[in-house]
Amino acid sequence: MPQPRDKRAKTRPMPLDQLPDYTEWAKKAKMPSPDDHGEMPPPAPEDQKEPREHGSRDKQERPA
Amino acid sequence: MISYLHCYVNDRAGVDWNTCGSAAIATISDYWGRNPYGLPRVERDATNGRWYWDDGQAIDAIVNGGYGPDVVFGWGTTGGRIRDALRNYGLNASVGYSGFFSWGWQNLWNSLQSYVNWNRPVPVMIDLGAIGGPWWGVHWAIAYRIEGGRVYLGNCPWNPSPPVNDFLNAWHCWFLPYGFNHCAVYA
Repeated sequence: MPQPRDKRAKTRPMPLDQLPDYTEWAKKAKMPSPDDHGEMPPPAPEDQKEPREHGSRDKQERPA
Repeated sequence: MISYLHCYVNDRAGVDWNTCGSAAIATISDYWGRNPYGLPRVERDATNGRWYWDDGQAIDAIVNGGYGPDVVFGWGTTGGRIRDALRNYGLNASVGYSGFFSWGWQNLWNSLQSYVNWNRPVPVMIDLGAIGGPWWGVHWAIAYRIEGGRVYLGNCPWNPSPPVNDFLNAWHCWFLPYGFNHCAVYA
């Protein structure tokens, strides 16, 4: 009998202290400097007044 | 305001340890009516009675389409990769992250609230340890509602509605380099 699926995310933690690779990667990766101001998204378009009902009522919906 | 959002889940044991970003791409694509890989709808969500793609099938299609995990050692997916996928699917997507000493985080928080309040769910990169999950667990969840001092997160079984302050600590991801702090993808 098939087991019910466990619908929980399986994202695995990064045990940084046990991953020597992390230290090497973090050293090479760019740490922020005073000139780094990050990146901002554009303002949210104010056109989605209602939540979208995504998904389909029809199981037989043809793929787009 | 979105009261319920069907989110795709990276739930296959031994397979989906690093595919939360791909699941986030699937959720946002489907929300905006994009089906770039012609996936069939085979799973019924009992909560809203609608039909959705199989989670694993959607994740595999996205990975095979070239938008899988891109952080070294397969640790996960960058915001840029998620943005590129969504743009490829025809969505106007942008990535945001804070700068030196969290420069700009307040503006990013304002943006996140604005997008969510305009019914635009936002993938957010969070440190699960700050909201009761495993420490050093970096994960893409979907912020879809902010109300009553809480942020509602999809694909986040560890804590689906943390208080705002806990969420902000999780969103900081202080131990990650530039480009990964207060990181989110807006579409």
